[in-house]
Amino acid sequence: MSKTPTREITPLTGIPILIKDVICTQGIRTTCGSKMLEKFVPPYDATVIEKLKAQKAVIIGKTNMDEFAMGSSNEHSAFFPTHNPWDLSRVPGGSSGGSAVAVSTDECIYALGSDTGGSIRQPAGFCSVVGLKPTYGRVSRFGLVAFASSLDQIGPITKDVTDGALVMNAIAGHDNRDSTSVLYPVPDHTQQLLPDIKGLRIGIPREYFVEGMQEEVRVALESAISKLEELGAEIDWEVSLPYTKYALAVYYVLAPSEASANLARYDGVKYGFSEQDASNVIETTEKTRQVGFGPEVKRRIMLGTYALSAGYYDAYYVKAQKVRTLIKQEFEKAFEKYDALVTPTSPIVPFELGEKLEDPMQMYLSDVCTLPTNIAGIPAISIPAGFADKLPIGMQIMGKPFSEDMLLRIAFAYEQATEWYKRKPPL
Amino acid sequence: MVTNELHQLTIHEAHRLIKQRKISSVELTKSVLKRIAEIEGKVHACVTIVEDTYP
Repeated sequence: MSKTPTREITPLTGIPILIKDVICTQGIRTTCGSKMLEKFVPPYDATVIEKLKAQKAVIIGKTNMDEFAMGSSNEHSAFFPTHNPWDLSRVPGGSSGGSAVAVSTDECIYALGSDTGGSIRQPAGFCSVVGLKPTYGRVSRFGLVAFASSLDQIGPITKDVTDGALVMNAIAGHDNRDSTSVLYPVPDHTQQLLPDIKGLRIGIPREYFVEGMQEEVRVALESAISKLEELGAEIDWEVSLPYTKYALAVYYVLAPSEASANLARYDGVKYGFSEQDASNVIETTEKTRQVGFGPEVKRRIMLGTYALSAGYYDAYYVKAQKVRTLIKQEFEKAFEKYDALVTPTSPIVPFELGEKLEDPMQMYLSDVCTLPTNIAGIPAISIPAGFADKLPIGMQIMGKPFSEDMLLRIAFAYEQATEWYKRKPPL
Repeated sequence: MVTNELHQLTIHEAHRLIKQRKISSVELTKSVLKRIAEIEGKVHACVTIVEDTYP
């Protein structure tokens, strides 16, 4: 890691940031939105935190989230739900809802989130801020509390696209402590920020304009895509990615399977919450998990344990991995032809608090446009693309691996031409 | 320099002002903490605030 001399003023020096509470900060409580880690103070910094500190960034706190990043509304935080500043009766999205709200309301200058199936982009879309999920392996996961290790990435949530590029410059890169981080040169992500996308080929995959999509979202996206065309991009409206329809099912086999393995570490013995009212070790572990985990986390552990159990492993887990490869190959093929693919970030606008809490399937559908990129490991950005009766709508731009600078370039051109990002919530 | 709305700055705007010594990191951070104190009761975005660490 490069050392910054004390007096040098780097782009992040002295600027306050909030961190999603799933990223370990030495000496600062890191709860993951869970009772299990309510009093956990990490003895070390995540790599991204070390990198921010090397730039003399000012960490002012930790943001609320769905427990262990499992959720799409922040209602699964064990502590309290976060409210959407554009309409306080609605959810901010999740799981990085606290970070997205904090950025949109100026509670910080920028924030970090994490994204396993849309957890940066969906709340960024719901709160009208910029959220980038980097390529899998672009940013070190060392010190990121694991949910689904083959899908998780840390990324920036910012007020504009330029800031997203600046944060990527700071946090991207290989790390010996994360064996899945990739030794691939880090470009200056601000280099491509030119308001010029002439001749870029952009595909619109029709499967992302799903059944059940809200009409206002469709209208906003069509208008946003026309704007990209106006700016000189060559739009192909007739792209088809047929495997997209399996992405939700694949995700809800793979992510819970990995989660069930990762969360087995919370046994009431090593660290975190421990239920003392038990007569032996096994009872301690059982009671610790009964009390320490919330309902959504328990649901996913059970789903994952089931998918991994003998007799079902081949039918669910292995099959999902095979379809994962097909989805990945389908994207690879698309990116031979297109520089980027554009879709809605979510098919719906922010929903009412409590509206989808009793219906997990409806909740999962709010991530239907974002989770294919995690399955394929490719990068994607969500940027403000308009409003439906004062509720924000996000546009997602997806690209091939390590094309973050291309995504930022398209996002920047759109941002400069539309200025949706300048609107602030009425608080 | 209007200092009461510093929390509204982006990274690149704040960086330019800090570099030109028109604002300090302490002013910027105080502005953000004040904003948190004002609106956190409505939005509940934060789990932990660590203002004591940065005088």
